Amino acid sequence: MKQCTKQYITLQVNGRTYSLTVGDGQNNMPPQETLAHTLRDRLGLTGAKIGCDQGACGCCTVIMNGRAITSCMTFTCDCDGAEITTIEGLADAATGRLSDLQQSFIDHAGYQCGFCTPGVIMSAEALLREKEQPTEEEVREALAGNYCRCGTHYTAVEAVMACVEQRRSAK
Amino acid sequence: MRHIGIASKRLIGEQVVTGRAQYTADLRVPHMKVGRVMRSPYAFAEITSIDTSAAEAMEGVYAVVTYKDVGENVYITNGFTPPRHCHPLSNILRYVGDAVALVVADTEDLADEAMEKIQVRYRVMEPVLDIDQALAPDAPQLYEGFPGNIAPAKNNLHFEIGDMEQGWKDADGIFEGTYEMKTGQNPLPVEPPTVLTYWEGDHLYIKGSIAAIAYCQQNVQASLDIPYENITTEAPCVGGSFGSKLFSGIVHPVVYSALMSKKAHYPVLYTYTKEEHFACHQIRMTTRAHIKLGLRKDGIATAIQVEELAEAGYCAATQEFMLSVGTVTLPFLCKTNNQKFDADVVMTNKCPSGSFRGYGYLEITALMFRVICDACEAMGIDIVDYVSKNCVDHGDTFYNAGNPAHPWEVSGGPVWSELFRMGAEKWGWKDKFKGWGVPTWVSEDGRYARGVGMAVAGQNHVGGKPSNTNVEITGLGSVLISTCMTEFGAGVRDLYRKIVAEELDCPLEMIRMSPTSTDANPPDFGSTGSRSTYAGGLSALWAAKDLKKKLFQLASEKLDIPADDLGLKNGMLYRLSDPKETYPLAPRILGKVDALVGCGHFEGTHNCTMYNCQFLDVTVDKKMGTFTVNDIFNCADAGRIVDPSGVQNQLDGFLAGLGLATFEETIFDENDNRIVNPNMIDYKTATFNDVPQHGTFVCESFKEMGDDSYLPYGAFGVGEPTISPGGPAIRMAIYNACGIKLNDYPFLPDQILKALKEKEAR
Repeated sequence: MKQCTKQYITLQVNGRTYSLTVGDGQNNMPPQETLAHTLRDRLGLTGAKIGCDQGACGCCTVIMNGRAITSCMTFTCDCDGAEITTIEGLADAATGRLSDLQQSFIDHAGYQCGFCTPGVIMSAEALLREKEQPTEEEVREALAGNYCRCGTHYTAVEAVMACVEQRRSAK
Repeated sequence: MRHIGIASKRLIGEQVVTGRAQYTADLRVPHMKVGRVMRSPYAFAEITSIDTSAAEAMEGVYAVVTYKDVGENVYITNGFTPPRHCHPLSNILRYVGDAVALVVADTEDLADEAMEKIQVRYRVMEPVLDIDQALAPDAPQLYEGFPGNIAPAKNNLHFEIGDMEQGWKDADGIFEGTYEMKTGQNPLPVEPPTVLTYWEGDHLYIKGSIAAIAYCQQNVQASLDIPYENITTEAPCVGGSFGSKLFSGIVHPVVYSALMSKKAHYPVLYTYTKEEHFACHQIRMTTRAHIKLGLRKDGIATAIQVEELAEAGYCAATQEFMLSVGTVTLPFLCKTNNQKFDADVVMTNKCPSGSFRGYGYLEITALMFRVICDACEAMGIDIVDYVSKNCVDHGDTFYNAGNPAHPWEVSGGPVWSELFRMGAEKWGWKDKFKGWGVPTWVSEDGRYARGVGMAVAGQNHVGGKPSNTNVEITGLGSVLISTCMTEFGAGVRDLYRKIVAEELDCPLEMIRMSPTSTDANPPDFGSTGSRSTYAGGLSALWAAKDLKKKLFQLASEKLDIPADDLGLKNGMLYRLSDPKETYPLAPRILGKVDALVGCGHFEGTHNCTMYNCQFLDVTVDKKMGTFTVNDIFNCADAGRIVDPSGVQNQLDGFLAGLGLATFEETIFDENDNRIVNPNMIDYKTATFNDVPQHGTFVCESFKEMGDDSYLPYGAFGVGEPTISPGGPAIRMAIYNACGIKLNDYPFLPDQILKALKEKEAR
């Protein structure tokens, strides 16, 4: 039997802790792997999409330590100890109940093909965590890094603003 | 109405917002490997030798496919036209990006490493870079069978009707010009083309980001030279298409994946990198046209002549079909039966052009509008009057060159001129339009000027091609719709559900949709060409009607009640003469685990017309040479709205039409047509924080039509023309704002400043 020294990192994703061994071996995570691939290929969290792999479409957006990031431009090795929320982590884990923001996207048909939508929702979610009641302009700015070709530029923003409105009236 | 026109929760919504919706790249099958393509660094070259042994010897590399592995009958082809010419892999490379070798490996990184070990020697040849070079008498020839670099077409691209001479005589003014559109706009769905294939013996299984699975299967069948029945095609969720995932002509990603999985004996997932998506897939065809228009003082066209060229790039496929669809723009924009049209498809050493929303008519509409604007200005005609007088209205006869056997069609579409006039009124066109070349407003310092523009565009393939749907009801009253129609954003599967639920008078929740597979469903041309609501919807409606007929017949025998006294509601039968008398289907009519199936077959028609009409307002910054679209008003007629949110979302697709004239551009290296901006930073598109204020006006001209009309509940949808009027409307608005006529999309600052300077010099 052979022995080796292990290098590993830990990620906390949607409340669960994952250890990943880093290295060149077959079952290790290569050090150049990006978070988008780790989430999708190793953790089975395929909600974040890879649209461009160039950091320019926002489909792979997740929230790391409170900030929206493009996971395709982030080395997983640089995320050691990070707390990450993906689209899979928004609904209530026990009941499956959708978050208000998710529900609003359904109610306002804020999606078409849906490929960009997880990224759009995560960008909006990061803003809503940071700011209780953002303006429409702030929402549009927050989504500026998300590419959509279908033309949900209006309905997706309506969905976010309806959620903001809901918060306001709930106060 | 219980469902038609009433908002409801869309299908796949919950999966989309939770990330559970599965797209092709999310699929995992046992032993799956990944594919990569090694691409040509030269625009035109011959492979004189290729050695793949070092790559193949690598651990984790399962196959390297080269032209030597490809059968001589394997081509990229639809099997019909033009003649077969383009092998998926060849010893002759015809553009920067042509496939040199396909590599199957455990990971993409490993495949990339393997590519570096493939030894290739090239003999570089002189390329043909554009239409002019291709048509030059001594030009290098791309294909032996295509003399003069022209792809022989089977579509009707040369015709003359009426009396052209008389048409020119009847005109009070004749206007002409040569115009070109060469932006190479990329359809650019957010999801890149992605295809997973595997073989079981001689049977090929395809799962892919495919927008029209049966149509794609036909083209893969023709390309690989295997029977249609030896392929099964499935589409999970598809991340947008805009024509680029029909795989109706440019079927490369599917064929590459199939060749790789065949040789490797493993399932292969092949995803285009964004760079490939930009530089090696398909772009909007470069189109050049000489257009001559005869116009009477009263604003009616007397003759129209178009000589058009379309650049195919290195692979001729859909371009001639696009030219053919575009021919209907002649009668759509000019109310004259004196028409002459000639077009050809030109081959160049360039990334192929291919199907794109606005299929052929966007291009020719944009170019024809330039001549129409010149003519209207010279004759003092308001553009709204022009388009209203020259469109194809309900009951008008028009020449449809795309159907040479029966070319004269009588329009079954609405009175479009009404839509244009109502739209103009609602938007306040008369107040905003101050005359040709006259700004609506100028800032005090003269730096900013506002102008307005409008355009219309349309086509008549709304009801074209066959659709087939089966509708099944079980003994418990549950309904299954079987269709090949793929969901890629437009909401076609929601639409089917509404139509069938309306006809069967049941809740939407009682209706399930079949998996999108060619093995589970009858063939269908697919959700393309704006045909989903009309052609597809009709097949679904007819299937539901057929089911009811069969069910009532069977129930009549079992219950001894006349079939014409039976109705169906919420999965239960009832007597029309006494609605309180109800009968469950099981057990007397059908067993619990039993079903009856109705079939809807619609073979297609070309008499339904569809236009989109847009009004917009721009501000030009004359110092910076930039412009902004302030406001856009988007007008359509859906016949009848089936799905309100679907209609709104579909119409909001106008943004790519504005992008075409504003900033979208594929930039080619002038030495070898290498695409120099193959990424989403250098290729500009509309962002969430940069969209104009917008309004929408949707007519429902056929709302009163019954369910037995030639349209499903009077609906034909709003389709894809929404992308088309934006470009010509922007060009007109900039002219009205500051008196410059721009001709090269996109209208970037250098062009605007140059034109302003030239105007000043005059």
